[in-house]
Amino acid sequence: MRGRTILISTFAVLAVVSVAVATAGAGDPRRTADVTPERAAEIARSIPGAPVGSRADVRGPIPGVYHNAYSVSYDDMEALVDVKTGGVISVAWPRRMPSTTEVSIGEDAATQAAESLLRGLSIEARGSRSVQVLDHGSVVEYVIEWRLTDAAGVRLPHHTVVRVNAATAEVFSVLHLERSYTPPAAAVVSREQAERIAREASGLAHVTDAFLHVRFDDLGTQRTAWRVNLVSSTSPDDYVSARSVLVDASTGETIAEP
Amino acid sequence: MRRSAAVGMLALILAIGTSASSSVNAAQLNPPLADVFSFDYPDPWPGFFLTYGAGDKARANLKDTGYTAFNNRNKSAGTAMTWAKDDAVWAFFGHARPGGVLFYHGDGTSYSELLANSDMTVIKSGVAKVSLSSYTWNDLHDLRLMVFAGCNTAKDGKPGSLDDGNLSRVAFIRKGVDSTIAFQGLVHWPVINGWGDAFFARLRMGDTVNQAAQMAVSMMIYSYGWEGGFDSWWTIGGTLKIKPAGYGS
Repeated sequence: MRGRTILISTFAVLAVVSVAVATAGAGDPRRTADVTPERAAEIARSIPGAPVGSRADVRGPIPGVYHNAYSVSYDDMEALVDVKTGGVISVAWPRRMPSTTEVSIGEDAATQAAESLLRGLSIEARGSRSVQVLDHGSVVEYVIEWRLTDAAGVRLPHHTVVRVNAATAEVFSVLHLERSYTPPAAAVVSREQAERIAREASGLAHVTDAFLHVRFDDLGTQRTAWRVNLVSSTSPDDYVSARSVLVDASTGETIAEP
Repeated sequence: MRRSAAVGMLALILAIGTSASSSVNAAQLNPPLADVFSFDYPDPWPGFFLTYGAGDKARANLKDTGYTAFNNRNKSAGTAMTWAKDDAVWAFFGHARPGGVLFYHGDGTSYSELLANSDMTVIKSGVAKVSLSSYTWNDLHDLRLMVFAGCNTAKDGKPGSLDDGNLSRVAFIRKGVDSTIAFQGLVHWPVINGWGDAFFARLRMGDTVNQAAQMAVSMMIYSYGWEGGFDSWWTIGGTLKIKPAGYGS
């Protein structure tokens, strides 16, 4: 009887359900699932502070901009685990999320909390750091973000976002996107050309933002692309259409997004 | 089955079964109703914006949460607000501005607006206007959640203009809606399609409105490489959940 109880407990920890099959980037070897859902659950359980003895729900693979990942949910902890490497892409603790508009810490304390947690997870945040306090009406959070760019300002695939409860100083979300890359070649398509292409593709007149970044096509081939954001009107009182258009920085072709 | 036919049958069954009182404006059906409104706005005004994908994904998640859910394409503001009286969840994905959201009717020419607070009767550009403030507390207090997924929906309309007021505040404070979510900035297509899925999937999993909004932003960065403006989310009553399925209080 005792043996049966232990057996049930063991399987309760690793109750695995796979509910979706990723199709995006099917030809990209970086997205091949070398890690099993069971192994992903084990990896998530090894995250410092992971709940003990609770049941795991594993879904995926879920396609992302750089990786495919399993979503692993435990009681009050969720993680995305890379299907190829087993690396932890994100961790969230929903119960630590802010529940009030109280702001009891400053930017320095929020940043220290973020950096401390990243050290605990052995995540190296690189690039320029920004700190924002975001007021969502009923809750307030700090968002500390690290973004790596090259000398030409091209956003590289190394991006870290940490969210901190402004009332309790607890980190409640970490997202770390990282994929190996080669130094991107200079863009053939200029910003002006990319904006013109995006205007024609969208029918929208006003560009609000445009930046170069590294991405990967369905076969896993590295590309540099412009992300051009546009609106139909800049008047604050008008109905606004806001679109984001991707333009390949080598060919000038637009790139579809789901 | 189309929304009107399906709900009509349910309401008839309810009326026969309960001899429903005529003093109550809104009907509570079992399972509770959820109406999503999505659009295929044409060029040139106010610009192409296709939100069917967001609506389809929101509807699928609401159905899996236990609601009788519909994604209603290209309906008028008047229809949307008439149906809101029977709804537990009401969601809009489309063009917006401070104090108002725009409904396109799918015929290439006609539109209507839902405005927060306007008591004015002026009609401009032939666009029919529906005022959220003209509905009674009895009409809308059964709503557990209203979603205004469009640009700048969390902002107040220009004082003294037709758009004067704030959609979320009118819904929550004056009409008894339990929770609302809107946006303080621009929200971009096509990221809105991913957000419509991620936000309602999180609600289906049992998150509060605030938790779902938070997790959906992280999922947008994971999926698209940026948040698409959805980190400007703004809620009232965000500690509420819509699972298990039910009407508001």
